[in-house]
Amino acid sequence: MDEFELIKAAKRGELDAFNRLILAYQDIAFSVAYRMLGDADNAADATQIAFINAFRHVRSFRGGSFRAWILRIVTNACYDSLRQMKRKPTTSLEPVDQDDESIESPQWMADPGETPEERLMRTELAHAIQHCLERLSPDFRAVVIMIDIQGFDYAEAASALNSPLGTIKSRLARARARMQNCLQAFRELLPSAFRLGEESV
Amino acid sequence: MMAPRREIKQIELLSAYLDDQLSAKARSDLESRLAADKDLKSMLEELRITRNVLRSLPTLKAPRNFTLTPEMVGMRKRVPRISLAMAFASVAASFLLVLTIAGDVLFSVGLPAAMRSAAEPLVGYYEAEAPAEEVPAAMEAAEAPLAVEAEPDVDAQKSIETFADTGDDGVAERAASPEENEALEGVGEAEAAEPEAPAEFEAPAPTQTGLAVADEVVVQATETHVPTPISEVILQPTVPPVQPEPVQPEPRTRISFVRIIEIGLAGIAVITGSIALILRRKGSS
Repeated sequence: MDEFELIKAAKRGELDAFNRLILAYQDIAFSVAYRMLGDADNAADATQIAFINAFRHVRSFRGGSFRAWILRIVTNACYDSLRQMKRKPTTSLEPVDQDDESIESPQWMADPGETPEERLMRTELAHAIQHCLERLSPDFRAVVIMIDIQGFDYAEAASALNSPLGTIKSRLARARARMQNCLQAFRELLPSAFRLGEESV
Repeated sequence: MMAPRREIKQIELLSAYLDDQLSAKARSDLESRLAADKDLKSMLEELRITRNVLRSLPTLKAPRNFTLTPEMVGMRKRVPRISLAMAFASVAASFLLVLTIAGDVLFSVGLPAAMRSAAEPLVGYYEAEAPAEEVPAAMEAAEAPLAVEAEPDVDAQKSIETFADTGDDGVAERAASPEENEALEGVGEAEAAEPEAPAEFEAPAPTQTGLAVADEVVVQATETHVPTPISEVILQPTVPPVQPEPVQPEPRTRISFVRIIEIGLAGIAVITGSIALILRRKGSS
């Protein structure tokens, strides 16, 4: 059954069909939520809430990109979570183990094919990027996540973020400039291919 | 750090250029400027690196499945229609059972009084039937004239004459004629059994001889009388028109029938309720 049929079935209230859509989009949804929130538990909660809301409102989906529609709901859930975190800032943004000790990287981020040095570098770079992302305002962060991290085009990002195309362009440019300034502090973490003068246009 | 407005415009232009979002003319203009301006080109390279770094981040794998359960979305699993039908049948049977029991109890409480009032004439009937042998004296006395009318022999003539002598001429005169007596025989017993006759025939202190003769007449009359049961004759006017046969078995039949209905309804209620429960559990598991 293709996505269109699954969406039709989900609109009829078939939970199994919607669960198949969830399985197809849960990675990207969680990923966006984690980039937005910087915390795995909060991201998981926001993702779960987003899927629940999505199922309840799936009848309002009028076609177009289902991925953009799902990620709009995920982003809104992240905004709600950020507002709650702002009111009650009790959760650390760093991943922790069972003893509340900060860990290098969550288990789900590990790539078994890389060396320990590569993993360390990648982990540190990932932390650096996440650190810089969290310095952005949520609106800017969302645009960077959608277009630069998830690879959406402008139109799909505008749909997912429910914003005009011009706003998306403007926010993206400013967000990139701010990320660029932030990442200057982590230049040594960047792979050689990403260093200025080592990449051709 | 707030960039000047001009620099922001340049960054927006370069960002759109990187993503190929410029029109052909805007793109051509920018490329000619990039060829002449090294700072602008350097700025473009910094942006490209930043974008590539961001794109190097992988899509994270979800730590668990986020699939939904019916409870999470407040959905109830559909109960099969047959289960609903069974549940309804169970409730209906239970309701009817309660109604039947209530009606049975109410009827049973009200029944004894009704049964007593219905049974009273029967008691009178059986009490009247029991001393049938010891006929009351008035009845015995009443038999005498019947017998006289039925069997007018010589002795009877005598006694009747004796009665006539004592002053009672009403019946005696009628009995005195043998032709009349013969005619009366033909009329039948029904006439003879009429109670009016003995009522008029009250022996007014007969003489010793007359009494003895009368006794004999009674004996003969009893022997020769057409064998009509005395109880019939006596009770014909007194027995009320009550048929005792259907009264006694009726309550038994009704009670057993009600019991059968009650047991049947209880069985239906239990069976259908159990089936509904099983189907519901099966559906929810």
